[in-house]
Amino acid sequence: MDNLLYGRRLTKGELPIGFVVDDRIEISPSVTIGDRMIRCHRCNSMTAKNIASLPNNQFFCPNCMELGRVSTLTNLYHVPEPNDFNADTHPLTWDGQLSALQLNCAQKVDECMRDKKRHLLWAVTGAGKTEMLFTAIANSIARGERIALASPRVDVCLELYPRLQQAFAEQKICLLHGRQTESYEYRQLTICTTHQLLRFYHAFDNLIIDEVDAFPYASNPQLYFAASQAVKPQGGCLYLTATPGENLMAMVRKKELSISYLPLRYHGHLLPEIKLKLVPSWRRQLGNKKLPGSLIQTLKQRLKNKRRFLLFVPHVADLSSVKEGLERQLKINVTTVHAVDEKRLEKVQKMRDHEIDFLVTTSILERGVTFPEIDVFVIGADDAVFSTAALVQIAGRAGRSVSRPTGDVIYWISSFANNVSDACAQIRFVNRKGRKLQH
Amino acid sequence: MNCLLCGTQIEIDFNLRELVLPMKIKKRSICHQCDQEFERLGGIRCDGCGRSQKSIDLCEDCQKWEHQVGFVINNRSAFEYNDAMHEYMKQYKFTGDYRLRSVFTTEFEKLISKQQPDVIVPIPINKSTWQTRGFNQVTGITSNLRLIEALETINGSKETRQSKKNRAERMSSKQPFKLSGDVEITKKISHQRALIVDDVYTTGRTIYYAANLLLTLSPMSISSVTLAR
Repeated sequence: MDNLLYGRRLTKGELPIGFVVDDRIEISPSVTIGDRMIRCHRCNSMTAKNIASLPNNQFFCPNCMELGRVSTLTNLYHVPEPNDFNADTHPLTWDGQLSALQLNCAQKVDECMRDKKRHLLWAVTGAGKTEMLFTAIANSIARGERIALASPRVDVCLELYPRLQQAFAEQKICLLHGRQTESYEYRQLTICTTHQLLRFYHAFDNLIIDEVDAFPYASNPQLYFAASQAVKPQGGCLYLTATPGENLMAMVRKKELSISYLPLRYHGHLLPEIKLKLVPSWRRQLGNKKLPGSLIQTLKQRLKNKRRFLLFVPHVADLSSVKEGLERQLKINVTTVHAVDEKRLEKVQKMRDHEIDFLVTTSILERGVTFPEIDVFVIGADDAVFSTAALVQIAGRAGRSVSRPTGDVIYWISSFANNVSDACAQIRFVNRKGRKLQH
Repeated sequence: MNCLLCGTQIEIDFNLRELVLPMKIKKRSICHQCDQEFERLGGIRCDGCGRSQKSIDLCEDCQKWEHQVGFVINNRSAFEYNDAMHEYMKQYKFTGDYRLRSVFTTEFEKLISKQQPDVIVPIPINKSTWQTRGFNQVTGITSNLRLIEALETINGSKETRQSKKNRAERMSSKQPFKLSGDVEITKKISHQRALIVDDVYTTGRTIYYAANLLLTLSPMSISSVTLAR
């Protein structure tokens, strides 16, 4: 019970009933009141007084309510991180092999974490990022440091947890996310969503953030703040991404962040480049339940050659008309998936088991899923729902296996929008770097 | 403006009148989809508690009340207490998102004024709730009306929340309120049409306790309005 507050900042409601507040505990107000705005000390957001007001001249922060409300009625309780661990000098139980390229990067990561630097690792999709972290994490644990591995997405955390638990069999890892029921435990290695970092304060010697570019972290200044304050003032922060956004690149240009690249996939091949096909009137055609001729031709060919593929559409509402059009024009059964589909996992599993040859999907399958030997098609890639990062991630679904390290990536667009051209440029950029390494 | 419940951008379809005439545009705080989740009560209902049923005769529960306390309170509620309302209450009351108070204000206040009350008495919350939640959920919703706070909670009477009890436990709970010590306030009730407002009508226990107390002030009539039931 003692270590519950080590390196964390909690409200009274989050503490167990009967928790004794002794003099080691630092108590600070959670909201400060300004002239027109109030500032929340947990998420650092400013809110206009009229929005944040409670009766009797009290105020609350409406921006971090999912963690439980903080207000002028509550205080934050904190105990400075003491690093109270029995450090294991050889915690790594993983015996896999890294490729020469990965090894190079792993050393770089290790150096950064040793020197507590702020670093960005730009590794393409399917580069094997997680494995490259193992030695660095092991060395950090051996030094007795507290480490967190955070990601904006719950599914990424849930996928990382068993992999790390396997690689560090003797270590107990704490997994934190919004949907869980298990309680918090004080551990040397924590895996959590970036939202959970708001509960930490100067806790970690090293923080690793995976998939920094993913929603909601990318566009959320609150979570940037969460990350920056969860780390100790002299602590290090490592960002991992396949598609760095403008914010991160600006930090690199300002030299606030060092950067290293891993532009080749684990099998040593380049990323497949995006081919574009202009079909200005596809939406109108879709209204008549027809899909562009070039798309139909391409799909026919894939079906004939038994090549599996994913077809992405911009909106859930498009799924039914695309399905109808395909079924009419190709005379085949079409399976669609979207985020709130009840049979989503089942359908994805069917695709994995080769029971079906293709899926029509929204951007939920943009990251975190691997089907070997597939082609990737997007219709309406210029739609605003696809961010540059999403388009690069989608392209990264192709060519992930050694058996077929290339694949076709074709985007049907109605106009040359910025997101599409930026995505193409990003892939060309890493491929240029990759080619240099190949030779 | 984003929807206070689901966070998506609210789309407003202006009609011709709104576009052409210099009139005030109604501000929406939740989006159309979320709004449709809430079920408005109407049609034929029990003359007592206001639940939807086939006739306007007293429902079984109200007959029990009549038997037990000797009168039946005329209650009207604006919404069915369905999943959406449950979520709303959770977010508003228990998480404490005070911004949500304005979501139903217009509709709720309309329902209240339909009853043509002279004095409106809100159900109070106890001291410890004031310290944690920081607001009374009932007075939050009815911010534009003049309320007479004639009731107070008895200290320490409410150890567990109503919403955490089952029906039997609720029915056997003790009187949680007392009349306000301020004579000026209690004087205002006598020979007036008094209306009790609360957020949720579940068993009626709370409202009947409140009504019992107010009856001692000899009002002309007592009825009640709740946001949901």
